[in-house]
Amino acid sequence: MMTQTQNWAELAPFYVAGTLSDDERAEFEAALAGDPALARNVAAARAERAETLALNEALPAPSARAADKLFALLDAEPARKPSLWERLDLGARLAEFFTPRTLGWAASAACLLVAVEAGMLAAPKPEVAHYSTASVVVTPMHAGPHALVGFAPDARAQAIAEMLARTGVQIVEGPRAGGLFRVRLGGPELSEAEAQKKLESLRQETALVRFAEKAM
Amino acid sequence: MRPTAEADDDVQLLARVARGDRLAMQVLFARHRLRVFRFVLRYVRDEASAEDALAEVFLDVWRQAGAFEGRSSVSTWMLSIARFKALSLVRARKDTAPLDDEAAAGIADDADDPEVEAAKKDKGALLRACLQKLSAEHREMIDLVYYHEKSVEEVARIVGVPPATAKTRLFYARQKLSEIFARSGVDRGWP
Repeated sequence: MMTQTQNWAELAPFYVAGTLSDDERAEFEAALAGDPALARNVAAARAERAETLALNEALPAPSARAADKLFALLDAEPARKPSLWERLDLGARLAEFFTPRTLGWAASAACLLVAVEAGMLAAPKPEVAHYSTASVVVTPMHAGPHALVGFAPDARAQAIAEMLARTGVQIVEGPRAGGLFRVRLGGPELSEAEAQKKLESLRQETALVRFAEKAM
Repeated sequence: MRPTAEADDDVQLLARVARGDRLAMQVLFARHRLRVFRFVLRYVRDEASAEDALAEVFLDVWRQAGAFEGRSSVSTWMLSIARFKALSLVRARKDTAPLDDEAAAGIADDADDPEVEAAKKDKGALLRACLQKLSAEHREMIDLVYYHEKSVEEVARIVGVPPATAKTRLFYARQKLSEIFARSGVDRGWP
C-alpha cells in the first residue's frame, strides 16, 4: 500500500506544474513545509519543468502545409446536414436582440414567431462562409449566384429547412413583395451550369417551391 | 484542476465545429496546432509525418466533435487522438523497417555520449541531454505533465492507464532521469 510520503513524492511534478486541485495543493504545501526530502524533490521537479519547456519550445512549428492539408481534407468531407434549429439559427439571432431576462420566455416565444414570419428563416451564419486557408481570407457571405424563390403556401418550415440543407441553398433576404425570398445557390466557385442545375433541382421540389428564378 | 476560460472557449468552439462551422474549426486549429504538432513530433520524429498526422488529428476532431461528451478538456481529448495517430504511424513504420531509427527511439539510451560529456559544466544543458535519453514512454509522461500541464487524471486519460499508474510511471521516469544524470558524475540532489 502506498504511503502518504510516497504519494506526495509522486505528486511533486503536478504541484510544480500547477495542476493539483486547491485542496490537494494546500495539503501538499503543508507536507512540504516539514519535509526536506520533499523539498529536494520539488526543486528537482522545477528544474525538470524548466528544461522540458526549453526542449519543447525549441521544437519547430508546423508549416502552412499542415493547415492546407487539413482544410483540403475538410473540403472533401460530405456536407454536414444541420438540424432544423441550427438551420434556422434563430437562437443566436434572437439573442442579439432579446434576452429571456428582459422579455420573459413568453415574449421570446412570440418574437420567435415574428422572426419566422419576417424571413429570418435559415439566414446564413457568417462562420459557414467559405475561406482560404493560405491567406485566411473569408469570402463575403453573400458572394455567389442567387435566385428568387417562392415557397408553397402550405409548405412546413421544417420541410423547407430540410430541403435547403439538402440542396445547400441559403436564404439571404426576404420575404420580398409576392412572398419571394432571395437565396444563395452556392459560393463564387459555383459555375453557371452548376447554378442552373441547382435551380432546376429547386423547381423540382414542387411540393415546397412554387417559384424559382435566377436573380441578377 | 479548475476549468479555465480557454477550456470553456474550446468547448464552445467544438460545439460549433459539431454543427459544421469551419471558422470555429480554424480557430480551434490555430489555438492547438502548435502543441499537438510538437506532441506528435516527439513520436514520429520527422516534421513532414508530424504535419500529416496533425491534419489527420484535426480531421478526426471535425468528424467526432458531435460525440465529444465533455468528460475531459478539449485539449486532453485532442491529445488522446494525437497519441493514437502518432503511435499508429510509428507502429506502421516498425512493420516495414523493424530496425530503423524510430524503433530505436522508443528505447532508453543508457550510454553516456559526447552530448552529455559536453553538458557536464552546465546543469541545465545536462538535464536537457538526460531528458532526451529517456525512453519514449517516460518522456511522454514528462512532456504531458510539464509542457502540456496535464493533471494526473488527464495524463491517465491520454495515455489510457489508471491515474495511480500514471503517477507511478512518472515517478519511475524521474528516477530513471536521476540515474542517467548520476552517471555523468553530477548529483542533482534528488532522490
